[in-house]
Amino acid sequence: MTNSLARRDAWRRRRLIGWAAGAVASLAGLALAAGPIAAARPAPPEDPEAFLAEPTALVADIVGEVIVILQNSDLSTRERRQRIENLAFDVFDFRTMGKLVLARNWKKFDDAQRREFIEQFKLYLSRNYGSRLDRYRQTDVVIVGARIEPRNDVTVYSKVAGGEFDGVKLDYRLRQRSAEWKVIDVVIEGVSLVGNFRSQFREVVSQKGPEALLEQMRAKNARPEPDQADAETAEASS
Amino acid sequence: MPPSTRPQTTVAPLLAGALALAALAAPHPGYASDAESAVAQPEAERPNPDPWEGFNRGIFWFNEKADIYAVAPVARGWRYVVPGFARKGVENFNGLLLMPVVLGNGILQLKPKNAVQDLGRIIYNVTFGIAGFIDVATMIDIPQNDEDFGQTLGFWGVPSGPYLVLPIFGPSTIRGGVGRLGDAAGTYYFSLLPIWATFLVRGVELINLRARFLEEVDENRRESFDYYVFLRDAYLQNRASRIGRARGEEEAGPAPGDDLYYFEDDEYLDEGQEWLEEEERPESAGSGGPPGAPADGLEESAAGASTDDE
Repeated sequence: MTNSLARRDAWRRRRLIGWAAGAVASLAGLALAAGPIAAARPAPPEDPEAFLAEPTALVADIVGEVIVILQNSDLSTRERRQRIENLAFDVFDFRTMGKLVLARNWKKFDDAQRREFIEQFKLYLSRNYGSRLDRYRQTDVVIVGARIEPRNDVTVYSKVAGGEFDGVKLDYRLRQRSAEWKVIDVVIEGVSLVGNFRSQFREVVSQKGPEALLEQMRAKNARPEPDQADAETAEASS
Repeated sequence: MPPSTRPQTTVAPLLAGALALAALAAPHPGYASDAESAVAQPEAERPNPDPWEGFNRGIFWFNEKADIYAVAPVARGWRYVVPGFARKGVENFNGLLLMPVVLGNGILQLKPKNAVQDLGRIIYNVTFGIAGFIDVATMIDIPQNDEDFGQTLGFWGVPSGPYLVLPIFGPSTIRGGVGRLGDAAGTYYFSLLPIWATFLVRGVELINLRARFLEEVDENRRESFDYYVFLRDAYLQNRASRIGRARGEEEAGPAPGDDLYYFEDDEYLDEGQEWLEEEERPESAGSGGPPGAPADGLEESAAGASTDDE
């Protein structure tokens, strides 16, 4: 760990020096170069407990609401999914997620492509995960802790209780933007959603370019809803 | 009790073998450790975790066929025939069979508290748990520790080596493969049984586990953009997090490197912020966008942004 930290520091230092030398080699130039770095690394909060309270409560609220909706038998599957989707659209920051998913390749997307990517990604997540929701009806989720990450992100840790996936670890990564906390990643048993999609998209974009990825996403999202497909195959097999 | 000493003694030569392998892998200094190489380094500096991708995809293809045409159908039948509580019972039983491995590796990782928990778990589940079918230990809050020899190797700093897909067993790494051999030593008592009994127990374990993930696997197969990459990444991330836990990074998991959540290169960070700021002003972003696909998306997301901020 220290090793990689040291390496990262060294690397950052190199950048800084390069920057300063490339720009005007003056105090003003140095200050400008240091500016964005300082802005990107805010000081850790003075009262960690208080700092963690809000995001933890947010996750607890949302998780609680989702479970109530899942267990509400008066609603149809579609209604349950709709309500959970509305909660999710509110609490996830899809723009940040999409940007993190693309990482370096973000640069290759022009503005219109970026916007479409975010929209397609959001649609894809809602289809992919929305259709699975009904299987988790027996499930409860318990918040087990939270911690402050570098640059004041917060991770809230939780565990599934009951059902087929009893004991599975679910972590939520949150980031604060204009005073509001938003979820920017979900980590299931150590597997980050952002990281996983980044791996899947990386090759497509670096080999075939942004348009190829967008085309794949459009094609995926244009297929019939998975739950409909399931119903069809269930009918066919019975 | 007796099995607990076995892994240690049989494992010693294997450990030596593993270290030799580690030395072989050493020319790739990037594989420092899971926690470091898989997540924490800036993307450009990270080595390719899968230099044998072509070969691995071959084995992966074979595994997929084996799963689709043999394992999954049997698992489907198994789940149809065997009720949930019985499947849970089988899972508990298999868990107990593996406890010598967990215990042995807990000891190898110098975790006396875990070892005591593991021993307690074995004793309670063998006796009150009716030979392991009921997980009494969990009911009385003895945690199920998660250890295997691959994690022990990681704990002692053995690098993971390249990603490796094993026939039938699926995703692994060089270290994970060696770990499996080590764990086989931990279940040495299997060799006291006739070979068919070993296959039966292992076969049932595989089918029973597969039956739990029928829908998950189907959906992941269908929804992923590249199922091979999906699995590889999920495996590597999950292993990195377990090894982080084995090293005592409790609850935290491995601190996912900054680069997963930030662009280390400040250029990207700045660029991203510009874009976000621009979108904070919905009027300028989406106003008067003419119809057409890109402009449509533009308008929609601008609208999304303004509702977000309310």
